[in-house]
Amino acid sequence: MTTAHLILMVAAFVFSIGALTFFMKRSAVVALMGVELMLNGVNLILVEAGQLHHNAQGTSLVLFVILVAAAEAALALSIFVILYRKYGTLTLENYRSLKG
Amino acid sequence: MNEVANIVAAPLSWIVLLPLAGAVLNGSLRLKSPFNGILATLLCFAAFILSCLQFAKFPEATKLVDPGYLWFQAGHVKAQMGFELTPFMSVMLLVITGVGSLIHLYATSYMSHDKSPWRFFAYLNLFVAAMLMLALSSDLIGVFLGWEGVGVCSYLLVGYWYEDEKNTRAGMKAFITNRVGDLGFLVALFVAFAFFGTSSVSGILEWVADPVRAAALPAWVLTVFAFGIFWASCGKSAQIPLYVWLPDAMAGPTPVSALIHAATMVTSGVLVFVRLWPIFGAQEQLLTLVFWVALATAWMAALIALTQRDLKKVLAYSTVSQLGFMFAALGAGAPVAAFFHVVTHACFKALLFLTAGSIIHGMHDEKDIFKMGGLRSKMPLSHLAYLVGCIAIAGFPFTAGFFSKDLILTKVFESRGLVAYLLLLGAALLTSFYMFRSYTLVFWSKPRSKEAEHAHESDATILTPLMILSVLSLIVGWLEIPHVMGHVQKFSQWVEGSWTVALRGNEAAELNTSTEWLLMGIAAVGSILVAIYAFKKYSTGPDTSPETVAWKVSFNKFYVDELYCKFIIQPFRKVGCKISVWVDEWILDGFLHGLFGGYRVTGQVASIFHTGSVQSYAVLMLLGLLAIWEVARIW
Amino acid sequence: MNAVLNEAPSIFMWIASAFAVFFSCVVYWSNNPIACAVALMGTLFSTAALYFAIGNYFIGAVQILVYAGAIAVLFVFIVMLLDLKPHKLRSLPGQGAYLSFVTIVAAGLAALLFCTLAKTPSEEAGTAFQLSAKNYSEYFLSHYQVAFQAAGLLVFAAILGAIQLARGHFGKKENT
Repeated sequence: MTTAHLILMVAAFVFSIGALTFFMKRSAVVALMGVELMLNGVNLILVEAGQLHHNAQGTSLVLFVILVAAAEAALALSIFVILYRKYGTLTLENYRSLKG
Repeated sequence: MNEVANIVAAPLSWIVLLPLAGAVLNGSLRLKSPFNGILATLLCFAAFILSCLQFAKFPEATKLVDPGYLWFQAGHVKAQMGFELTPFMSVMLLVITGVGSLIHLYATSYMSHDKSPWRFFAYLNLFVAAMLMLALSSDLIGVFLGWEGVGVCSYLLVGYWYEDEKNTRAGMKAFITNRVGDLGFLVALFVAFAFFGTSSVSGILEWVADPVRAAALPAWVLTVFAFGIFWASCGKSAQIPLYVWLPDAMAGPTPVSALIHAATMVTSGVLVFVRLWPIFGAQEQLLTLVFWVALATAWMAALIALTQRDLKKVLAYSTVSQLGFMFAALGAGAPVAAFFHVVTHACFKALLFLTAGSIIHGMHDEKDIFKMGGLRSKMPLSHLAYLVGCIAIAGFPFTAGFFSKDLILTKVFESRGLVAYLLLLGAALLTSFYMFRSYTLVFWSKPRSKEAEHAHESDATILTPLMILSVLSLIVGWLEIPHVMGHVQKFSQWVEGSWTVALRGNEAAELNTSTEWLLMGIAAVGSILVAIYAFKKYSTGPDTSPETVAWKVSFNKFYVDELYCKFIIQPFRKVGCKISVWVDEWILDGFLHGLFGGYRVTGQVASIFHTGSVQSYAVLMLLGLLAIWEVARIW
Repeated sequence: MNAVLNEAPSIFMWIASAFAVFFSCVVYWSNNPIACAVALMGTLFSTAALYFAIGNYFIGAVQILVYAGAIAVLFVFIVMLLDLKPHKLRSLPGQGAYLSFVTIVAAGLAALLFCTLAKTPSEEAGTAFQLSAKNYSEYFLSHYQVAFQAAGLLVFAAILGAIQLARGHFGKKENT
């Protein structure tokens, strides 16, 4: 059980918990938190891979991921605010107009 | 038959192409009359000139060929659009183009007050082109192309005045009945490809003449081949049971009846028979069948013609009867006699039809002979022409019809015996009777209607072909006169020189001189006596005696059309209706419903996944991603 | 630095991992949104600690700055703005099924990663890459220049989107 294995296990776990949160939570904001957790787990793997290969590729990719995650979270939360103002609820079960 | 064959190349395709060009030009240029008629006549006449040129090359050459081009080839099935000309076919070519040109000339005047005669002349030229194709083609497939082509043109021309539904129905009847016959031709073609490996006429004849190969063939092959051709001839050349279209085809304009239903198309069956005679000559049973069917046809048509009132119908049934004569000659193993009769019949039947057209024209389109009468003073030249035609067809001594009919009767007596001869003689005497009945009723006694009183003679363009054909009807017969009278044997030379393979079959016994004179005498005297009897009987007008059963049967054409309708056409229609309804409901609708049902079910299944919830979509995405990953990994 | 990955984990690493796991579980199991948000922040900090532990100080710093410092704060901010109430989990039949499914996915993922790790070539001596900001920026801005510019465009688009969202013309007719 080296460091590498530990980190990978943690990453896998965090990713899965993130996925579970996204699937199972009622509130949209908390579901988004699940997305952030997933991204975090992936970042962990990427960084470790970069370390294994002794170059800065992993770091660069992680940089991009963080960048995109930031932009996406910001915009998504703004949209949630507007949705809350319009419909009064952020419960994902109520947003069913794609049904059918 | 063992001479060295001298095969010469010749530009035969032009003979077919000229009338075809005429058809195309007439159809596209649509000139006013009379220019469309003149164009058509000129092109037909040019083909006649070319035919004369080719005819002059015989007898030095034994066969003229034009290799043409390869139409298609699939495996060993090869269709070569080539042309070949044998001596007897070159004579036929002269008949087709010569009589055709005369009829074109006649039609120029006859159709002059029609609405759009360019259509007529286009079709007429197309017909001539197709007929020439039939005659000239070196391959049975080309012959079939011409065969079908004349059928189509027959339909187009019979239904020319299509505004009247009666005419289109007559055209349809002609076409469909011919199609039933064409099945036989197709069967023969299939047999040729399957067993002889080729469909070219010379190829087939060579194949059959080779004793080794012929012995290896199953016995039924040649019989099936021959019977297929015979069945096709029953359709095209109006034998029982497929003759029913010919009388109805009189709905077309008279030049059409003259060209198609007298001189050329209906003789195609005889032409194919004579061309392939080495095969037919050996088929004893088939020839017997042919003979008796032909005899029955000749009798039946003659009996019907006895009571008809429509002038053209009388001539139509007369044509059927004469075709019966030709096939009787074939059935008696005498292709020379049959072909001779083809040529003479072309001359005098075309003459009769054209004269009938002139009469009908003069009578302002009245066709009922009971309404005519006393026309001989009003239409003297037409009267003369019709008289010449009648004596030719009746077989008065020294006319063309005399020699050809006499030859047929002699051959029948030689090969089929006395009874058959007497029966055929009876049909010949009936011919004389009904032709003179029609002649008397039209031209003698008093005019029986207003149109008859005001009838007028036709113009020169119509009368000229009549005169030419009258002369021909008198002199063509002298090309083949019997042994006892000088033994001119032009036709025998031509026909027998056309098969470059040895003829198989038994030669009939030669008659002695006195029997020949006796037979000729009986036929000649008999026809004259019958003619006089008919003249006496009808010279005061139509027969007004009460209708007997026999008369009813004859007048109603032996009820054959009604029988066909009831027993063949109606059941066919019923079954067809049922099948079509079934196919429509179950197969077509079922297919569509199945297709749409499939789409609907697919949509319903897919919409199960459309829950509207983002989170379940995310689950599905994850599953999909895993699936793709697995697949990519394995692959 | 890189040799750390082949050794047994240090205590620091174990603690950081434990915190990461704990906080992420809190994110899932808590009913209170503000608790979830704070636990998210905690997870991010723990992950940063892990980054530091394996020697990638740069990313650790970036994580704290951007992720924990901006994004998590944004989450907290939104929760407080909208005054989200405590909530239960979705009423789904077979919650256990989801749990087990995700467990399987996690295990599978871990196994796959282990296999990949086993196939990774061992380190070559002498090619160690000194992960300093200077080295890193040289590498990044030369090899990933185009991607960097594209990311800039992406951020620009996000800004535009944010502005548009802030204007709030929804459900009304555009009157330009």
